[in-house]
Amino acid sequence: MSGVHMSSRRMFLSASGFSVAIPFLSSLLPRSVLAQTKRPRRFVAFRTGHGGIWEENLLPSASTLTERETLLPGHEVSWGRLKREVSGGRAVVSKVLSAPDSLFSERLLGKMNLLRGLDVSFYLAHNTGGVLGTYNSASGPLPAELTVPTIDQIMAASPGVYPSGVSMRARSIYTGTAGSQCSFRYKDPKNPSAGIEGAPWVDYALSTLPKMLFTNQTPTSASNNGPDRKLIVDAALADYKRLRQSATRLSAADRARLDQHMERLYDVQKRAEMYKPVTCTDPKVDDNPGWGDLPYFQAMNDIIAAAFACDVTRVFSINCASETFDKVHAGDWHTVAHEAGDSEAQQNVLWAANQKMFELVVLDLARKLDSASADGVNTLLDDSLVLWGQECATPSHHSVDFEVVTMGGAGGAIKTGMYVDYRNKIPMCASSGGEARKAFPNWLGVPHSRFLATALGAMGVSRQEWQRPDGPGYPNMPFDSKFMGASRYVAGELAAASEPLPIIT
Amino acid sequence: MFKDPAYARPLFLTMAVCLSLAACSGQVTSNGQGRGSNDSPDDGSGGGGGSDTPGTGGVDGEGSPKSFVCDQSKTWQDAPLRKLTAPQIKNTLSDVVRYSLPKSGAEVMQAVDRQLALVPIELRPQIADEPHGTFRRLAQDITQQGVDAWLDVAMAVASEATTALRLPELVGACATDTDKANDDACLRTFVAKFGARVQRRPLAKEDLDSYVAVAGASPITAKGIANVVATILISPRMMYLVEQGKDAVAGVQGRYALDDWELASRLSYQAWDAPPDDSLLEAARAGGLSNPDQWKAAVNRVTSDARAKKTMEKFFEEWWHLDELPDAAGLSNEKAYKSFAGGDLPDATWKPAAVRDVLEFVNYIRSGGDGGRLSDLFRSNAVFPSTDALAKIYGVSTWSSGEPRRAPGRDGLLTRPALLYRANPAGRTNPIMKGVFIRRSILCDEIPPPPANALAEAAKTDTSKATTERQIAAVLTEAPGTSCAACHTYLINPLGFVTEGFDALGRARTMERRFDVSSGSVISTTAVDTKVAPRVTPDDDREVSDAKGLADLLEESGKPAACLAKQYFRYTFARVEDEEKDGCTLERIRSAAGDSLDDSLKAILLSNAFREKNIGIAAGGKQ
Repeated sequence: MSGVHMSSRRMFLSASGFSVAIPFLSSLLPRSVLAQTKRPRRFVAFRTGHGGIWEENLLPSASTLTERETLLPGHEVSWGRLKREVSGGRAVVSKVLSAPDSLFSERLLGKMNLLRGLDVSFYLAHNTGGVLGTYNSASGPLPAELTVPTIDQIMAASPGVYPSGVSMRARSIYTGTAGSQCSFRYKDPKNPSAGIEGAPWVDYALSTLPKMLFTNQTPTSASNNGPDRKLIVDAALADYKRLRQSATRLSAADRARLDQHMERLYDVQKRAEMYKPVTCTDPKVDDNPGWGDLPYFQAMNDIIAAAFACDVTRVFSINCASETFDKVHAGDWHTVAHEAGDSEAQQNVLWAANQKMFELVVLDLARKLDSASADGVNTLLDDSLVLWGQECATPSHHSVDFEVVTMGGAGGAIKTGMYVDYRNKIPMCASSGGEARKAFPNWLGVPHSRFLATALGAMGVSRQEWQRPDGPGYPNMPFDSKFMGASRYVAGELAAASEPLPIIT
Repeated sequence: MFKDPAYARPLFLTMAVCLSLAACSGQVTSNGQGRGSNDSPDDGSGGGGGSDTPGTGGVDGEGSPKSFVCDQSKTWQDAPLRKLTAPQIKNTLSDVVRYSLPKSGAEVMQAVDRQLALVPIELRPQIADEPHGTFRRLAQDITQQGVDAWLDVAMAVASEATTALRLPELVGACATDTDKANDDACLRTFVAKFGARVQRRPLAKEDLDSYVAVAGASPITAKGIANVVATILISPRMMYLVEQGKDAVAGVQGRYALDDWELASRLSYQAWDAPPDDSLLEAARAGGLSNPDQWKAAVNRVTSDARAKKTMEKFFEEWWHLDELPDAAGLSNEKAYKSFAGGDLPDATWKPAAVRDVLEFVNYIRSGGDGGRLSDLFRSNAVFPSTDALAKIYGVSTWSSGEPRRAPGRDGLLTRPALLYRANPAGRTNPIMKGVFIRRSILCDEIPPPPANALAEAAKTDTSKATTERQIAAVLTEAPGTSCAACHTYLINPLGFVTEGFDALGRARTMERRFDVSSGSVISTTAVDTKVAPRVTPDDDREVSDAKGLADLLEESGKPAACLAKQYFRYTFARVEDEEKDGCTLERIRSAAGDSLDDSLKAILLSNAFREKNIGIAAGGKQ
């Protein structure tokens, strides 16, 4: 049997009363999807601000970690199968990772991973792109070795994700709440040394994306009588070239900026060329829920699921800022996040908000992706990698021992259903926090870049596309000697910074 | 470990500025290089004026400079091909549309409002001494998002401007009559006029021919005109300040005097964030702006215009990060905050009124009020409370216009609620960040990032016996031998302690009350101690106990004037200064601030740096 397999007639029924019906029929799927021997892989990243959730609120009991495996001589990691306790209609892995039993099913639990022990090797504090590898920091501009795009943009540019000849509506979508840029790309892909810039952010996403992804309006012309985009871009390019090549006084730096602008115009042309006509149905989401709050993201999930089903884009990155939690706590999130390290009252606010994020956004998308299949065997979730990461590690403003939640197997590239603790509990790896503070990380783990390498590899991006010449890892992270010297990792740990994470691959 | 969560210090604020001993052993750093003796601060012949007062030059210890060295043999490096900011492009669009469609231009702008809302606003770029971001004008990245958005805007404007009803208004009756013979002249006349307004100068013939060709063959069509309009609206001379100069500056290789059109644009975008008006364009056409006297007259006219006031307010707003004040309205349900605020609980009007108060204060000093000097910004007790709530905090009646209210004890900027305010659920002040603000934004001293172990060190600290913010900050950051102490003890905390005579809403106080976060009840009441040695310069250990005393030290140090010069330089030229190569311009601004804040800010418009560009190419076009 071919086509899409439905879990129910109404494909997506979101939680908390927000209802969206998508008449999801096999005719929605382009033949190209069905005909592909290698199933397309999809990627979604949710990034939330703050972090700082105490481990007893975020993580399951240590007794879950029943297995041991030697990663390197001197570094043994522990892992176990994720388990849920069901009581009173709720399935609980931890306080944060809990949801109604009907939603947080054994099936979805089996497609989930929880990872901890992912380290950034320098003081990071505030950042917006760290989850995806651009460790922009409030403490100052990035050094050159860290000025790299986020992995979603590497995926967007990769032939591993978009083989030659595949047409799309967009190579990636970056949206969510504004103000915290979490997706970055090269300013000039031909010249990485020119640095990075924020990836374009889709505003008014719930009304913009359906038009962008599901309606057939030729990009070359607004209407028969209106201005012609292609002609205008061609004319503009000629204009910029004319100025650049003029004999009048322009410095080399002036000309370089004209070149940059022309690159942007070429990009407009390229997008027009890969434009894909679709026969998909607009998911018709309510485009006016509270901006940036949880129902907003549930509507976004409907769009993501429909976009993957129609194969009009394969990469989404979503920023969820403090506004996302405002329905949980309408106060000053800045204070909550910063005081939650020591104040139980503030910590309770923080974990409760993140629980909502998990249940109503992350699991919501997983359920929707798991309700549709392109080949009758594997669901869209099976072919996807969905991740949820946070700004900071267990204590806010700290960068050792990041945790990541993933959903989906990326077409079999990721093993799932596991809780993996990558920390190395030998004295040498004890971090500077010691036992002085509740929830302070105690042990160094593995470079965060290994998780990024895992995600890139799972999506079919070859290492040559992202490996940096300045050292292992993406990116090659510098060490702040006052923070945690390189010598505190066991031999071979850092050299393996480009390797996929063991246990889950 | 903190013994009582209710007293737990917001660690980020402490640690964000907890400085390394090595970086901060007794001194703060500056990225400046200006030292030694000084020549004339006047940077040359242009502009018809400038101070003749020689600067003293140099820095004080390792701090930021208090004056700059003007070395005429040094030449600056201009920012390459400056991009207009999003507000500047919007204002240009608005001007062009209203100029080209006097009857229906407002409707067109309204119709493209949605597309304009999608244009990304520049984010503050981080620079070494402003990790929280400098002026948006320095955000010069050419982003895909920006190019895409402006293309959409241009197409929307073109579409709206060329409807059947508007086409005759835009192009003329010749565009829609049946006479094909006049089409070419009709089209060329329109393109020349429209293009010149968009690009702020007459079109070169090759550009004119190129744009005319975009319209396609006769007869004139709405679609053809729309294509021309959109093409010109995203042209390089629309989006950028293309400055190629006129005459080479004698004796300085690579530097050229800007031509009149370029001068007109520089001046109007600097002062108004908008394109040249008819008068400036006419002056440019007549070649008058190259004349120093006429230039000075143009500067006076433009800076006296109401639009200049708004742009200047934007400078101060961004310099002092007033646009980033957090909102306390969300705290109205916090028990401790309600206890703290009492009858002064802020509503949604509180923050804008507090910001307006500061901006009106600056306008007042700039207009010559209370002496009109930069130093008067730190002394004057003129206040401008536009709401009853703010007036109550000051203890004066509400102000709406005219002469300011007088608030005894409110000596200068640093006592204004907008700068004292903090949205903390327990109503706590933040002396550390107040100190950082003064050190970084008023004195322009560079503060290195915190050491990586700062959080861990603070986490071990017991603050349970401290009953004031000053005591807590001292316990956390001033313990001898810790990595935090060197900078906090001498260079950061004292500058914040000196205004602890005001609470987190800016109300004067002599006693500091602390509140239990859970119950809202008062836990302690302790006398406030504001006596400090603020070390405005590293070797100055004189003590003061209020903002008035601090104002004396600030003025005596000369550092705020030098800091103003650096900040306004950045705002004007969209780049970070080089204290050596830009010394003449910086010194020109700085030296004028002692007499008049307003003259100081105008001085930059009269400088050579504003009227010339270092293109880096020798006369004849060789690089």
